[in-house]
Amino acid sequence: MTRRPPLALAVPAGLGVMFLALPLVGLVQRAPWAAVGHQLASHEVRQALRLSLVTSLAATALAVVLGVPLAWVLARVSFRGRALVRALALLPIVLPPVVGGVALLLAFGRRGLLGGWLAALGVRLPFTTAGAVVAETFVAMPFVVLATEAGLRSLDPRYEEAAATLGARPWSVFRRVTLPLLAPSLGAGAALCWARALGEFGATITFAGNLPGRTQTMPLAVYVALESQPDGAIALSLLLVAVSVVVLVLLRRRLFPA
Amino acid sequence: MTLVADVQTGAGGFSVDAAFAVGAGETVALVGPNGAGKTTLLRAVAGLSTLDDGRVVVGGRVVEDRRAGIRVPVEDRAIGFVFQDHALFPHLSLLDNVAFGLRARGVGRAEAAARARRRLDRVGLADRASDRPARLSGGEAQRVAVARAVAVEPTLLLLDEPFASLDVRARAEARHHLRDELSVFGGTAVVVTHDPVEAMTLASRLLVLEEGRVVQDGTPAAISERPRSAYVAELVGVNLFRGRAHGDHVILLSGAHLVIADAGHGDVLAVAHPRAVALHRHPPEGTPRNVWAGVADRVEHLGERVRVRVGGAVPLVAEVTAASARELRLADGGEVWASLKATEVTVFPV
Repeated sequence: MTRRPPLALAVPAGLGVMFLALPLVGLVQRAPWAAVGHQLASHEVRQALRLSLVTSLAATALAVVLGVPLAWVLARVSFRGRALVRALALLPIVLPPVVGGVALLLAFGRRGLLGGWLAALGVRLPFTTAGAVVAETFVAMPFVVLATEAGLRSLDPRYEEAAATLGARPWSVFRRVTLPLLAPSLGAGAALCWARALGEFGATITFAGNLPGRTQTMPLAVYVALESQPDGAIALSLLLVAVSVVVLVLLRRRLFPA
Repeated sequence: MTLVADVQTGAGGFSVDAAFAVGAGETVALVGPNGAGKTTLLRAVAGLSTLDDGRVVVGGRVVEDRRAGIRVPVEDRAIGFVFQDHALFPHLSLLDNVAFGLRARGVGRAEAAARARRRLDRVGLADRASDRPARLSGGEAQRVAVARAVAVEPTLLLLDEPFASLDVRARAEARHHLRDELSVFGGTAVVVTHDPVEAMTLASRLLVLEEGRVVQDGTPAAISERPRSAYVAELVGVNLFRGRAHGDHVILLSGAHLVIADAGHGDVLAVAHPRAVALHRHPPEGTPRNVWAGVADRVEHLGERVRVRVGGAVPLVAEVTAASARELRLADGGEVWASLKATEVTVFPV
């Protein structure tokens, strides 16, 4: 190992650290510490906070229910077009969220692909809390698929084979062997998914709108508050930073194996 | 016949084309060099990989027949499998590991737990029932793996190098345990191994696989008497003596005495490699304490080596160089003396 990095690497590396750290320093330094508690206790903030928790947890649950089976199929079944399906499953990571929101409107909106069917069933997604959940799920599900598929691929196949030789049917093998052994990867994926859903902005505001109490989640509230009451925006931002840091600390072993 | 297999498969990277049968209650050792396709064959029989062609019949039921389009899934084959590294479920206690198959087959929770506890009790691990597998030694894990496989009373038990992950000391004990388990199990078993002592202490029949083909099939005695390849000669062509140890010597079944270096007691299997047997035209002088007169009744050339079967009070096989075979004029027959140093004899309790 090199002890002293060459200057040509050390200087940009240092600048990179500063670039990442300064915004956080600004946030912490400008925070109205005395008033943070008061700000977070306001009706609007608590409403946004509650809505964010509900929608992000619901989105995570939905992403797990859909994403884990998808990851299993991608890892265990070889079929034509698998590469295409995998690309599709990861697309939302690189897709601009606003574009995701527009696409969701065109699929599930009143005049979208499934709009007529959904209306017939009495389901309305755009500009509803359910719509916020759908937008967050769309954007955050790739993290569940990615982590779970990687976990499945690194799982020793002999555990599942042993279960089969003992008479367990495939569903029982999945439930009693695969899933428990997958728990650490799945947990990491779900945590990343939840963090992403909690911070979702673009797809949510495009597809679900910005209705306080119904679709105005914390990031939307921060954006709105920045104009009218900057102190509230900073307080909310601090809360979101704290959540992110907690997720990072919890996952550091899995994200950065020593 | 409990198992009738005719397997052609390329799964696992080794091409296998082997046909064999195993009778009810019989334990067969499947032996062969690395890369011979032993594991591939075993996995194909269990249904863990597919056949390219052929059929597998277990307990009279066709579980796979390519031409008839029959393929019974693994979980319906009633074939127990013990994996090389045991593959105990790391997230379950020992009790839940052993009860797993019973639960999967619909046995109630309490009943399955009670039966699993009895299995653990028999392998001496009842007090560790709530431990996780990570806390077991290799030998203990192996015992649990066998207990787990036999708990569902499979028609056929397949063991893939059950001792491979154990150190030498643990092996002797594990072998002992496995022999007991197999005799209690009373079922039909195929054990993959490349250790001749393992093969001969566990199995009544050997099946030798080389390059995916069965090259020899028979009792250990028959095979060591007439090995058909250098590999088989190396593997099973050892001298085996059954007898009863009394301290520094073993009284063989024939009544002859065999002096050993390590003290032993009780029924033993003494093993000596043919290379350790020296041949002489005249009674030898010096240190060897095991000297028997006999007749060189068969001389076989295996490359540069010559295997000589010496008939007499203690029949044995010697391996000498081609040069020394010429020097001793072994091809002419006649009386020879075979000597064996006590230190070259390894004794295994049975």
